[in-house]
Amino acid sequence: MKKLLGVALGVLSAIGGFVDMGDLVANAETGARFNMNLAWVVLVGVIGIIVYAEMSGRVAALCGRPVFDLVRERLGPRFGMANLLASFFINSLTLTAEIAGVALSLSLVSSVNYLFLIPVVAFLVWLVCWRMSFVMMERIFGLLGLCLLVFAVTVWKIGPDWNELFSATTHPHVPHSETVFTYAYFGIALFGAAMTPYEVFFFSSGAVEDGWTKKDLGENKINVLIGFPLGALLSLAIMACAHLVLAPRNIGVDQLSQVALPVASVMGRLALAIALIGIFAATFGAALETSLSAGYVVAQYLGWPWGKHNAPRTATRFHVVIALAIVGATLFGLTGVDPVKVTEYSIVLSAAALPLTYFPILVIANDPRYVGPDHTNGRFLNALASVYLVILVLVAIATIPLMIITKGGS
Amino acid sequence: MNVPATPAIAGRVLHATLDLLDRQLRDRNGKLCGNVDDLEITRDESGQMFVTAILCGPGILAYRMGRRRLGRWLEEANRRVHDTPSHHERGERTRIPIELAGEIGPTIEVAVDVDDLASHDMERWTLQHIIGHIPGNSSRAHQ
Amino acid sequence: MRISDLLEYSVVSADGARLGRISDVRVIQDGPLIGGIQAAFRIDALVVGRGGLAERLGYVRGRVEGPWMLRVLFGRLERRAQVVAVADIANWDDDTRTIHLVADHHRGRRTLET
Repeated sequence: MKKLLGVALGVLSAIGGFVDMGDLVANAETGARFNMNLAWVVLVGVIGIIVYAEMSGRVAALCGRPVFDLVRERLGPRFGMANLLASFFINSLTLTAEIAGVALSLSLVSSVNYLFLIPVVAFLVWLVCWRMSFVMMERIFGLLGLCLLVFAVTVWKIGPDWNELFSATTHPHVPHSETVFTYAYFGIALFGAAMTPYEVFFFSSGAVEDGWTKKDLGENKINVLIGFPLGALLSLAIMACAHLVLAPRNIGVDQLSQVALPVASVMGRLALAIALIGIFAATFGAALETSLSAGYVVAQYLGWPWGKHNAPRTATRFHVVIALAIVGATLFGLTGVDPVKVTEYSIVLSAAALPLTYFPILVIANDPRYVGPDHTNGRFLNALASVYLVILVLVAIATIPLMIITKGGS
Repeated sequence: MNVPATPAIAGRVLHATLDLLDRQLRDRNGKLCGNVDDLEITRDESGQMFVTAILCGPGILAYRMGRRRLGRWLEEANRRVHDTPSHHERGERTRIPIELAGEIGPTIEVAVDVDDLASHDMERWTLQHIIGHIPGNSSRAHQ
Repeated sequence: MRISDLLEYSVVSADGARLGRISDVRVIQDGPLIGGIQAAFRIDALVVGRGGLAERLGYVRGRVEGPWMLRVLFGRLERRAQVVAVADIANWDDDTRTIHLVADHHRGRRTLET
């Protein structure tokens, strides 16, 4: 019974933890501008993250090595270093976006300017990374993130024409007000929001720290196969709200408050408060994960001790890197840079950098000397994973040109 | 003269770049203590070559990636700051004799203590000068 | 010397043809006992060629099996490398970082598998 409870908690945390600032912004913006014509990208992205997370979890459990640790070993120090710099930079952008997201959600309930709240949030994030129980934090923030279900309730309350909604999802087209290029650009943004790399760094490092073994593979699969798709449904609910409420009124999403606007206008103030709790939890949880990822990637590349469970004095440089990353993100956020814009860039660049970390994991998941001869990828998984590798490479190639052509999606 | 595909003599067969370089090292207590940054090779008079040590520590990787001067400078700087007089022998704390390598797999276990290695010097320094001064540094996260 | 130094050397056959740069070395643990603990790690062959990234992945010299697409691509790249026995080294030119081979060395092409 207790085991079942643990599994349930894991799944629920995965659902609530799936959504972060990137998903909030990307799904709301595309819902407002493209209606449901990019919904299929969320589905493609979810399958991708399931494949990626399953392989990383299996590798972590069977050979005790997390993703970034293996990047240097398989790609060599030169490619590994390029990978490290790119991942760290993008991670820092993401961290700035998440901290700003937490500050914004707090400012919406308190009427304090979010800029004043950024340092407070940053300190809290650091404090949790320094000392607090991770299991508890993951559970709390994951479960609170379920408040985002209010978006799904809003869609149901609106009572849309379900047939129309389905056909828009299954027969996508580029709306007249947009070009093929902006369509593709936002498709990449949505994809990057679904397949967040920091999630995988965090997840696989956590699996190693928790001492996952073969026995835990089953639980890993359940969390991943149930949690992530349900999280994707939350994302689609956010997109549907924007499509049904914002799009007809020609309201764009360039502020976080507009993401929650549909809930406020359809369901009232109480529902809005619940939505804001969900947004707060989702972004705070993501800020924690991104902060730790900053430490993981640097420490794992250089071979330093790392880990969030043991006392900080056992992993000193790791904690220094985390603190510096948080400080850097805070300073950048305090320059008043637009949080929504930073979020957009972080998810688009995440999508572009995905092949770098996905590729070594795909190889190692096929290496019997690491995962054992019985646990290498099966043929179906390999075929699927190869298709995704091709997709990731194509996305990576297309990103920068599209960013230039669309001038960052405007 | 033919190169045999699989040598007739028994014994562990490895490829240095594939199986040794950039592998994670663990000390005799299982603690992470760096990566294999480089390998020391010795040539003897009869033309035979042996891998004689694992090299790991500040500057070693920089040297390997082409920044020879930077690498040597970092090694020297670390030695001056951290080595005690008894460690004057050049490169003693960045060098792990290969015979101390045990299991060679996803990680390589070496029969040394992490505190004996130069790769741990900055970790200790950071503890003394930064982390050690922040409250709460010595307890595990509350569970 | 360090292996990073060795990996900068080129290998030239007796008739002057440049075979490429050393990209890896094959090591067999069959040397004399060192420190009374283990047999020495003797370098028995040099891997020469331009495999680049492919060589670190393990599709030929390691045991990675799939996916099919990568195995074909990287297997092909990795097999372009040649294996040269250390015993076939005639002399070392440390100034030009070149290793010259004996006259009758045999180019072992498909001998990368361990």
